[in-house]
Amino acid sequence: MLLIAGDTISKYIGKEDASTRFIFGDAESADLLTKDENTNTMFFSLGTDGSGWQNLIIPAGVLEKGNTMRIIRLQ
Amino acid sequence: MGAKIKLIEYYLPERILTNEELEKVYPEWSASKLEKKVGIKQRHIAGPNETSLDLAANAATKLLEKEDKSLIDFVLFCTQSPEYLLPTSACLLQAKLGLRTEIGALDFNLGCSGYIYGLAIAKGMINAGLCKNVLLVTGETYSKFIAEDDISNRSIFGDAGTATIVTYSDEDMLGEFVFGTDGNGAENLIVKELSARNSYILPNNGRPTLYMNGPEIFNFTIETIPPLLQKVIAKNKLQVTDINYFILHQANKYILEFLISEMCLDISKCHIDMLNYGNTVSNTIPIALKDSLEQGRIKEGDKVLLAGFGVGYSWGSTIINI
Repeated sequence: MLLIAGDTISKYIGKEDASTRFIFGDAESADLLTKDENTNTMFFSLGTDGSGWQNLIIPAGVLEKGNTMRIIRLQ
Repeated sequence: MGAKIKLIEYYLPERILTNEELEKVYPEWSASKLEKKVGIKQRHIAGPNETSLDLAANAATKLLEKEDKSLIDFVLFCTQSPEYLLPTSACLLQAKLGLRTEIGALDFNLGCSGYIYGLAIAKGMINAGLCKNVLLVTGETYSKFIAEDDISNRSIFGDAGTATIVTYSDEDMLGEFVFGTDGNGAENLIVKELSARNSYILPNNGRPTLYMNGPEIFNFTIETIPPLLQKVIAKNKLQVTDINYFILHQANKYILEFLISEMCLDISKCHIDMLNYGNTVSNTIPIALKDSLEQGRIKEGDKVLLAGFGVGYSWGSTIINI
């Protein structure tokens, strides 16, 4: 299985938003995962809390009105 | 160890767009001819402030009246009309439904093949011991991408949301899967605007717009689906006569009848019912499954072949035991 992560979050960040521009960078990665009987089992611990949705968001989303697409809000 | 479908619910938005309404706007179109050809009489359309998240949440709320929500330990959300570019709609759904926070949640972007992929991911995660009760939701509002004057797409597509619980089971009730992908067909069913490729620019009307090359999608379907069904039947070590019922993605009546005759299937064993819904994209298969169970067209012990195909191009099929 080819597992790819790729993000160009810079495209969402306003020019004037120094603190967000300062932090985020763009990159791509590709992993090849394959079956191996001799490897150790991977265990995961997962969590989700959508009540924090307003704290990292592009408010002008796909189905929202407005043309301010390129602004990410990070609180 | 295995997986099975435990419960399905769906939700249709209140507003109904009838063929008669379309006929008024486009007098050259006949309501009765439209119904005869595509097998659609009406479709439900999401309200201006109603999103795929709302439709999926309404379906899930119905479902959670029958199921203890603390049992849900993973959320899979299939949509191509997400609430925001970010965050993920599945995370918003977790909060909206008040699910536990010690669970995984993710969106995946697929259209008419999406439900099959959702079942496959759920089965894989359950069989890997990652979770036990997956809430698989589909929510789609293509209507928001369709231009007012685009009669052919307005006549075909409807909005809906569905929610399914896939749970662990001693016997595996979800059979072997066959998948297919051909991104060379991407341009034939596409929303180009508001994308990274187009610098997130909106068109003049301020809305992203769906483009569908109907004849190309038709050709793709008739070339891809017959071998897909042959492969999934063989992979499950069955004969075509072992299948009690066929639920193909309810694209439209014309294409389904063409496929059924091409594959020489017994039409009485094939689901054709998009009369009151239209083509609801990733919602058609769970809606058809729920209706078929309620109407007694399928019953316990039956083997039901499911197949989804469309935008991507992406396709997939499996055979489930009821």
